[in-house]
Amino acid sequence: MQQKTPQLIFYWRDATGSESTVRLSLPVGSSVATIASAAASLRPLLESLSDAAIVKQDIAYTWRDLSPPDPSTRLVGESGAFIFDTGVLNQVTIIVLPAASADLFVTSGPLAGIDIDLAQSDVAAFIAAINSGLWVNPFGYDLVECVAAYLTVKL
Amino acid sequence: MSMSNLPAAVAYFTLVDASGSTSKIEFHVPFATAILDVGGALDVLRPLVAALTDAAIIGQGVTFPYKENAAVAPVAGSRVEEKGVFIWRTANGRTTRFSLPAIKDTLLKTSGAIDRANAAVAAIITSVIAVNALWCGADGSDITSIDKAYQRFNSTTKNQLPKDV
Repeated sequence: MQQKTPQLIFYWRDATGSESTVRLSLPVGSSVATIASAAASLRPLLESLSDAAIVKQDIAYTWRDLSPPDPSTRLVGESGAFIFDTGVLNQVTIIVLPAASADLFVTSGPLAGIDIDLAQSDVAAFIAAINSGLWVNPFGYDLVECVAAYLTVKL
Repeated sequence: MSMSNLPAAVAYFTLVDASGSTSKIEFHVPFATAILDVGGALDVLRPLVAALTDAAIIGQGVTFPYKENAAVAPVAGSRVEEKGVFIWRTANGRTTRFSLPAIKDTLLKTSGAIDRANAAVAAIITSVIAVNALWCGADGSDITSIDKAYQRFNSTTKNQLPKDV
Protein backbone atom coordinates (compact mmCIF):
# COMPACT_ATOMS: atom_id res chain seq x y z
CA MET A 1 0.00 0.00 0.00
CA GLN A 2 1.26 3.48 -0.85
CA GLN A 3 0.19 6.28 1.50
CA LYS A 4 -1.25 9.42 -0.09
CA THR A 5 -0.98 12.86 1.47
CA PRO A 6 -3.44 13.21 4.36
CA GLN A 7 -6.32 15.63 3.91
CA LEU A 8 -8.09 18.12 6.13
CA ILE A 9 -11.71 18.47 5.02
CA PHE A 10 -13.96 21.32 6.17
CA TYR A 11 -17.71 20.84 5.59
CA TRP A 12 -19.68 24.04 4.93
CA ARG A 13 -23.44 24.71 4.96
CA ASP A 14 -25.19 27.66 3.32
CA ALA A 15 -28.50 29.37 4.10
CA THR A 16 -30.46 26.85 2.02
CA GLY A 17 -28.96 23.90 3.90
CA SER A 18 -26.78 22.80 0.99
CA GLU A 19 -23.32 21.54 1.86
CA SER A 20 -19.92 21.68 0.23
CA THR A 21 -16.31 20.96 1.21
CA VAL A 22 -12.89 22.56 1.22
CA ARG A 23 -10.02 20.05 1.07
CA LEU A 24 -6.41 20.77 1.90
CA SER A 25 -3.43 18.42 1.70
CA LEU A 26 -0.67 18.00 4.27
CA PRO A 27 2.66 16.17 4.22
CA VAL A 28 2.74 12.42 4.71
CA GLY A 29 3.64 11.72 8.33
CA SER A 30 1.56 14.56 9.77
CA SER A 31 -0.13 13.43 12.98
CA VAL A 32 -3.79 13.99 13.80
CA ALA A 33 -2.83 16.44 16.54
CA THR A 34 -0.61 18.44 14.19
CA ILE A 35 -3.31 18.64 11.52
CA ALA A 36 -5.98 19.53 14.08
CA SER A 37 -3.82 22.38 15.33
CA ALA A 38 -3.21 23.67 11.82
CA ALA A 39 -6.94 23.42 11.15
CA ALA A 40 -7.75 25.48 14.24
CA SER A 41 -5.41 28.23 13.00
CA LEU A 42 -6.69 28.24 9.43
CA ARG A 43 -10.38 27.98 10.18
CA PRO A 44 -11.10 31.57 11.30
CA LEU A 45 -9.20 32.91 8.31
CA LEU A 46 -11.36 30.86 5.94
CA GLU A 47 -14.55 31.75 7.78
CA SER A 48 -13.83 35.45 7.35
CA LEU A 49 -14.03 34.93 3.58
CA SER A 50 -17.28 32.95 3.38
CA ASP A 51 -20.97 33.49 4.10
CA ALA A 52 -21.42 29.75 4.71
CA ALA A 53 -20.77 28.10 8.09
CA ILE A 54 -18.38 25.29 8.95
CA VAL A 55 -20.36 22.44 10.52
CA LYS A 56 -17.78 19.65 10.77
CA GLN A 57 -14.30 18.59 9.75
CA ASP A 58 -12.50 15.35 8.97
CA ILE A 59 -8.84 14.43 8.99
CA ALA A 60 -8.45 11.68 6.40
CA TYR A 61 -5.57 9.33 5.71
CA THR A 62 -5.66 7.06 2.65
CA TRP A 63 -3.50 4.41 1.05
CA ARG A 64 -3.83 2.76 -2.33
CA ASP A 65 -2.74 -0.65 -3.54
CA LEU A 66 -0.46 -0.18 -6.53
CA SER A 67 -1.06 -3.71 -7.85
CA PRO A 68 -4.36 -5.13 -6.60
CA PRO A 69 -5.44 -8.64 -7.55
CA ASP A 70 -8.20 -9.22 -10.11
CA PRO A 71 -11.65 -9.51 -8.55
CA SER A 72 -13.85 -12.47 -9.37
CA THR A 73 -17.45 -12.35 -10.42
CA ARG A 74 -19.41 -11.81 -7.18
CA LEU A 75 -20.82 -8.28 -6.95
CA VAL A 76 -20.11 -5.84 -4.09
CA GLY A 77 -23.85 -5.65 -3.36
CA GLU A 78 -23.86 -9.31 -2.30
CA SER A 79 -22.57 -8.62 1.19
CA GLY A 80 -22.02 -10.41 4.45
CA ALA A 81 -23.30 -8.56 7.51
CA PHE A 82 -21.45 -9.39 10.74
CA ILE A 83 -23.18 -8.33 13.97
CA PHE A 84 -20.70 -7.68 16.78
CA ASP A 85 -21.66 -7.19 20.41
CA THR A 86 -19.69 -5.05 22.86
CA GLY A 87 -21.03 -6.49 26.09
CA VAL A 88 -22.55 -3.11 26.87
CA LEU A 89 -26.34 -2.88 26.74
CA ASN A 90 -27.62 -1.59 23.39
CA GLN A 91 -24.11 -1.17 22.01
CA VAL A 92 -23.64 -3.34 18.94
CA THR A 93 -22.22 -2.70 15.52
CA ILE A 94 -22.57 -4.20 12.07
CA ILE A 95 -19.60 -4.74 9.79
CA VAL A 96 -20.64 -5.24 6.17
CA LEU A 97 -18.31 -7.20 3.90
CA PRO A 98 -18.88 -6.51 0.18
CA ALA A 99 -18.89 -9.43 -2.29
CA ALA A 100 -18.89 -12.05 0.45
CA SER A 101 -17.51 -15.26 -0.98
CA ALA A 102 -19.95 -18.13 -1.49
CA ASP A 103 -17.60 -20.33 0.57
CA LEU A 104 -18.61 -18.50 3.75
CA PHE A 105 -22.22 -19.65 3.89
CA VAL A 106 -23.79 -22.69 5.51
CA THR A 107 -24.63 -25.33 2.92
CA SER A 108 -27.45 -27.22 4.61
CA GLY A 109 -30.61 -26.46 6.53
CA PRO A 110 -33.24 -23.77 6.01
CA LEU A 111 -30.66 -20.97 6.10
CA ALA A 112 -28.33 -22.50 3.55
CA GLY A 113 -26.78 -19.76 1.47
CA ILE A 114 -28.09 -17.10 3.90
CA ASP A 115 -26.34 -17.69 7.21
CA ILE A 116 -22.59 -17.32 7.37
CA ASP A 117 -20.82 -20.27 8.96
CA LEU A 118 -19.08 -18.73 12.00
CA ALA A 119 -16.98 -21.88 12.34
CA GLN A 120 -15.56 -21.66 8.81
CA SER A 121 -11.81 -21.19 9.23
CA ASP A 122 -11.44 -17.86 7.38
CA VAL A 123 -14.56 -16.50 9.08
CA ALA A 124 -13.31 -17.60 12.48
CA ALA A 125 -9.91 -15.98 11.85
CA PHE A 126 -11.55 -12.69 10.86
CA ILE A 127 -13.85 -12.71 13.90
CA ALA A 128 -10.96 -13.53 16.24
CA ALA A 129 -8.94 -10.61 14.83
CA ILE A 130 -11.85 -8.20 15.32
CA ASN A 131 -12.52 -9.41 18.87
CA SER A 132 -8.87 -9.22 19.94
CA GLY A 133 -7.84 -6.08 18.05
CA LEU A 134 -8.39 -2.41 18.76
CA TRP A 135 -11.70 -2.34 16.87
CA VAL A 136 -14.65 -0.66 18.57
CA ASN A 137 -18.19 0.42 17.75
CA PRO A 138 -18.94 4.04 16.71
CA PHE A 139 -19.27 5.00 20.37
CA GLY A 140 -15.88 3.61 21.33
CA TYR A 141 -16.95 0.32 22.96
CA ASP A 142 -14.73 -2.74 22.37
CA LEU A 143 -16.09 -5.43 20.07
CA VAL A 144 -16.06 -8.72 21.97
CA GLU A 145 -18.29 -11.25 20.22
CA CYS A 146 -19.78 -11.90 16.80
CA VAL A 147 -23.37 -12.89 17.52
CA ALA A 148 -24.63 -13.39 13.97
CA ALA A 149 -23.58 -13.12 10.35
CA TYR A 150 -25.69 -13.44 7.23
CA LEU A 151 -26.16 -12.49 3.62
CA THR A 152 -27.50 -9.08 2.79
CA VAL A 153 -28.05 -7.99 -0.78
CA LYS A 154 -28.22 -4.44 -2.14
CA LEU A 155 -28.24 -4.02 -5.89
CA MET B 1 -17.50 27.69 18.16
CA SER B 2 -15.47 24.62 18.90
CA MET B 3 -14.82 21.32 17.21
CA SER B 4 -15.08 18.17 19.26
CA ASN B 5 -14.06 14.75 18.04
CA LEU B 6 -16.45 11.85 17.75
CA PRO B 7 -15.71 8.85 20.02
CA ALA B 8 -14.29 6.73 17.21
CA ALA B 9 -12.40 7.11 13.96
CA VAL B 10 -13.56 5.18 10.89
CA ALA B 11 -11.10 2.79 9.23
CA TYR B 12 -12.02 1.12 5.97
CA PHE B 13 -10.95 -0.96 3.00
CA THR B 14 -12.11 0.00 -0.47
CA LEU B 15 -13.03 -2.93 -2.68
CA VAL B 16 -13.87 -3.31 -6.36
CA ASP B 17 -15.79 -6.14 -8.01
CA ALA B 18 -15.46 -7.52 -11.53
CA SER B 19 -18.06 -5.07 -12.86
CA GLY B 20 -15.95 -2.13 -11.64
CA SER B 21 -18.33 -1.20 -8.84
CA THR B 22 -16.68 -0.16 -5.61
CA SER B 23 -17.73 -0.47 -2.01
CA LYS B 24 -16.21 -0.24 1.45
CA ILE B 25 -15.99 -2.34 4.56
CA GLU B 26 -15.82 -0.05 7.58
CA PHE B 27 -14.52 -0.50 11.10
CA HIS B 28 -14.15 1.84 14.05
CA VAL B 29 -11.12 2.49 16.25
CA PRO B 30 -10.87 4.66 19.38
CA PHE B 31 -10.30 8.25 18.27
CA ALA B 32 -7.03 8.56 20.21
CA THR B 33 -5.41 5.66 18.32
CA ALA B 34 -2.17 6.74 16.67
CA ILE B 35 -2.24 6.64 12.88
CA LEU B 36 0.72 4.23 12.85
CA ASP B 37 -1.21 1.81 15.05
CA VAL B 38 -4.28 2.04 12.85
CA GLY B 39 -2.16 1.35 9.79
CA GLY B 40 -0.61 -1.65 11.53
CA ALA B 41 -4.00 -3.01 12.54
CA LEU B 42 -5.27 -2.63 8.97
CA ASP B 43 -2.19 -4.49 7.73
CA VAL B 44 -3.11 -7.40 10.03
CA LEU B 45 -6.76 -7.37 9.01
CA ARG B 46 -6.30 -6.99 5.28
CA PRO B 47 -5.40 -10.61 4.37
CA LEU B 48 -8.17 -11.87 6.64
CA VAL B 49 -10.73 -9.70 4.83
CA ALA B 50 -9.26 -10.64 1.46
CA ALA B 51 -9.85 -14.31 2.31
CA LEU B 52 -13.57 -13.65 2.79
CA THR B 53 -14.42 -11.60 -0.28
CA ASP B 54 -14.40 -12.12 -4.02
CA ALA B 55 -13.81 -8.40 -4.55
CA ALA B 56 -10.30 -6.98 -4.67
CA ILE B 57 -9.01 -4.60 -2.01
CA ILE B 58 -7.70 -1.54 -3.84
CA GLY B 59 -7.17 0.86 -0.97
CA GLN B 60 -7.63 1.61 2.67
CA GLY B 61 -8.05 4.63 4.85
CA VAL B 62 -8.93 6.06 8.21
CA THR B 63 -10.95 9.20 8.89
CA PHE B 64 -10.90 11.09 12.19
CA PRO B 65 -14.24 12.99 12.37
CA TYR B 66 -15.04 16.15 14.30
CA LYS B 67 -18.33 17.94 14.87
CA GLU B 68 -18.87 21.67 15.41
CA ASN B 69 -20.75 22.03 18.67
CA ALA B 70 -22.13 25.51 18.06
CA ALA B 71 -22.15 26.25 14.35
CA VAL B 72 -22.93 29.84 13.48
CA ALA B 73 -25.89 30.50 11.22
CA PRO B 74 -24.90 30.98 7.59
CA VAL B 75 -25.56 34.42 6.17
CA ALA B 76 -28.99 34.78 4.57
CA GLY B 77 -28.79 34.32 0.80
CA SER B 78 -25.52 32.39 0.91
CA ARG B 79 -25.11 29.63 -1.69
CA VAL B 80 -22.31 27.05 -1.67
CA GLU B 81 -22.35 26.99 -5.48
CA GLU B 82 -20.78 30.49 -5.49
CA LYS B 83 -17.13 29.59 -5.09
CA GLY B 84 -13.96 31.49 -4.36
CA VAL B 85 -11.33 29.52 -6.28
CA PHE B 86 -7.76 29.83 -4.96
CA ILE B 87 -5.07 28.34 -7.18
CA TRP B 88 -1.64 27.97 -5.59
CA ARG B 89 1.86 27.27 -6.95
CA THR B 90 3.85 24.52 -5.27
CA ALA B 91 7.61 24.18 -4.86
CA ASN B 92 7.84 21.69 -7.73
CA GLY B 93 6.21 24.13 -10.16
CA ARG B 94 2.78 22.50 -10.20
CA THR B 95 -0.50 23.95 -8.97
CA THR B 96 -3.04 22.94 -6.39
CA ARG B 97 -6.34 24.52 -5.49
CA PHE B 98 -9.25 24.74 -3.14
CA SER B 99 -12.66 26.25 -3.76
CA LEU B 100 -14.23 28.12 -0.87
CA PRO B 101 -18.05 27.87 -0.81
CA ALA B 102 -20.23 31.00 -0.61
CA ILE B 103 -17.39 33.48 -1.12
CA LYS B 104 -18.31 36.89 0.28
CA ASP B 105 -19.22 39.36 -2.48
CA THR B 106 -17.35 42.13 -0.60
CA LEU B 107 -14.09 40.36 -1.41
CA LEU B 108 -14.61 40.55 -5.17
CA LYS B 109 -13.56 43.08 -7.74
CA THR B 110 -16.10 44.02 -10.41
CA SER B 111 -14.33 41.61 -12.77
CA GLY B 112 -15.00 38.66 -10.46
CA ALA B 113 -11.37 38.39 -9.38
CA ILE B 114 -10.80 38.05 -5.65
CA ASP B 115 -9.25 41.24 -4.27
CA ARG B 116 -5.85 40.14 -2.94
CA ALA B 117 -5.40 43.57 -1.30
CA ASN B 118 -8.36 42.87 1.01
CA ALA B 119 -7.03 42.27 4.53
CA ALA B 120 -8.90 38.99 5.06
CA VAL B 121 -7.76 37.65 1.69
CA ALA B 122 -4.19 38.73 2.35
CA ALA B 123 -4.31 36.96 5.71
CA ILE B 124 -5.34 33.61 4.24
CA ILE B 125 -2.72 33.87 1.51
CA THR B 126 0.00 34.68 4.03
CA SER B 127 -1.08 31.80 6.26
CA VAL B 128 -1.15 29.18 3.51
CA ILE B 129 2.21 30.08 1.93
CA ALA B 130 4.08 30.77 5.19
CA VAL B 131 7.45 29.01 5.39
CA ASN B 132 6.41 27.00 8.41
CA ALA B 133 2.92 26.22 7.13
CA LEU B 134 2.11 22.57 6.46
CA TRP B 135 -0.16 23.01 3.47
CA CYS B 136 0.95 21.27 0.31
CA GLY B 137 -0.25 19.83 -2.96
CA ALA B 138 -1.64 16.31 -3.28
CA ASP B 139 1.86 15.13 -4.22
CA GLY B 140 3.31 16.56 -0.99
CA SER B 141 5.05 19.57 -2.58
CA ASP B 142 4.92 22.69 -0.38
CA ILE B 143 2.62 25.55 -1.38
CA THR B 144 4.83 28.58 -2.05
CA SER B 145 2.69 31.30 -3.68
CA ILE B 146 -0.79 32.26 -4.88
CA ASP B 147 -1.29 31.95 -8.63
CA LYS B 148 -4.91 32.95 -9.25
CA ALA B 149 -8.00 33.74 -7.17
CA TYR B 150 -11.44 34.31 -8.63
CA GLN B 151 -15.16 33.80 -8.26
CA ARG B 152 -16.81 30.90 -10.05
CA PHE B 153 -20.32 29.48 -10.04
CA ASN B 154 -20.71 25.71 -9.88
CA SER B 155 -23.80 23.91 -11.14
CA THR B 156 -26.37 23.14 -8.49
CA THR B 157 -26.35 19.42 -7.80
CA LYS B 158 -29.48 17.33 -7.40
CA ASN B 159 -28.99 17.30 -3.63
CA GLN B 160 -28.62 21.09 -3.54
CA LEU B 161 -31.94 21.75 -5.30
CA PRO B 162 -34.66 23.21 -3.04
CA LYS B 163 -36.97 20.63 -1.46
CA ASP B 164 -40.09 22.84 -1.34
CA VAL B 165 -40.62 23.36 -5.08
